[in-house]
Amino acid sequence: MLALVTRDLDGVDASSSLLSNEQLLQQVATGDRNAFAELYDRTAPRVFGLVKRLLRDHSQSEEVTQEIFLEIWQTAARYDASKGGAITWMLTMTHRRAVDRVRASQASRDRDVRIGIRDHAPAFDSVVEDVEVRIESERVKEAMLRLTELQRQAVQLAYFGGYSHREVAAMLSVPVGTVKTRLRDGMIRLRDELGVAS
Amino acid sequence: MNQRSEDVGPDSGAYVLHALSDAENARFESVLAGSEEARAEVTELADTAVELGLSVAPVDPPAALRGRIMDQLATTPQLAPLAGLPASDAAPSGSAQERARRRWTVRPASTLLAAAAAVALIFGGGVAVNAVIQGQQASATASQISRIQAAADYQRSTVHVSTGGTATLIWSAALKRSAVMVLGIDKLPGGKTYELWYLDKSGATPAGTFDASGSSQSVVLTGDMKAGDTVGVTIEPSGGSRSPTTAPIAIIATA
Repeated sequence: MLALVTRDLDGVDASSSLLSNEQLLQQVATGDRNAFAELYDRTAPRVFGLVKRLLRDHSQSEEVTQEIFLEIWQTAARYDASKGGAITWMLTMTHRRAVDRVRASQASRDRDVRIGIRDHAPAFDSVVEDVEVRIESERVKEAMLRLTELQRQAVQLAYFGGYSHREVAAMLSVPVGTVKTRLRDGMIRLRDELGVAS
Repeated sequence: MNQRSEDVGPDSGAYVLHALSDAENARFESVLAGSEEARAEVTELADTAVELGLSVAPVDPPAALRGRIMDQLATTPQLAPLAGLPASDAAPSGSAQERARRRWTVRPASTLLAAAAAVALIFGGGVAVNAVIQGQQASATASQISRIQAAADYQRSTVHVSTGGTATLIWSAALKRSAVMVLGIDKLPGGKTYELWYLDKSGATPAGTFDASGSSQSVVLTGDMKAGDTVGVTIEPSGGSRSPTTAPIAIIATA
């Protein structure tokens, strides 16, 4: 018989800090700003760090980070925990948004070039080197070493540089079809090395 | 473990790295729609790409950014879950094939967003709609919920459901109305239903039943709510009981 049970089973209003990222995201979907603030505090450095790695420019990185978090707020109801973790969902969105911005700035830069403004893009060689040294995690760094050099350079330019496969092909002086194959083989190798496959 | 099927084609790696052109992207998504094998591979490779993202050192954004984003929430409408999406009834884990199937039963995000605009934004004030939109029943529920949320004494409280998921109670004592929004709760086996109760010192009053038909759902409680009432949720035989026959899986106090 259920009479009034005064013991609160598990009140969470005052303590969203106890919730997992996935639960926070589900709360955000109900319009809960406290849950959103908590999720922001936990994940903003990851999101901003990745955006900044791709864009480099500080103020553009801020703008894109803002766009990403507003998209998270808008589309939180679409997040389904059975499809993967909250960070997976958020960082996939982060990478896509950052790449979109890279492409958009590139388009305007290309237009600038066409109307005679000097192109500030760094030489390809220095870009390859720059992207090369940008991995902090030992685990990922070691897994990367298992790739062939061409696979590694292609994956790094695409993921950390935000370059399209055509640009990667031009930078590495290999045919477009070859780059696609290297990207796929490289990612499959990484998947196996990192134990992502289930 | 070094699977590499020739059927998937060469684009999966470039796809998860966001390195395809828009046209190539669209073409590959049509391949995905027709190939379970491709979906499974892409799901794993996308998770692998996230590992690359996690290998980047975190950088604290400027403190002012947080405030700017929080300020914009009020004017940024939230989208409702898309009506008619297959309910997610699987556990969070599962094989890559299972996760892939779930991940790719939805259309690309851009299509979803456009379609969703039609069913979203029922509620003003930036409050999310988390109802399962099903015809008149749902719109009646939605209009009642929006009345509660518009009330001057509107309050909300969220608790964990002991069998998994969360339940958020919104209420207005002035209107004597409350509604429960559940997220991520189990679908019950046949012959069982969730039942809501208003609880006070004299005992439990039935306040309606519901079945978890989707991963999220909103239900307006039947009967009048009294100030200080507590709301309970139990699992009962289909059709509901006159008084609870099982221990509550969620209890939400309004006092």
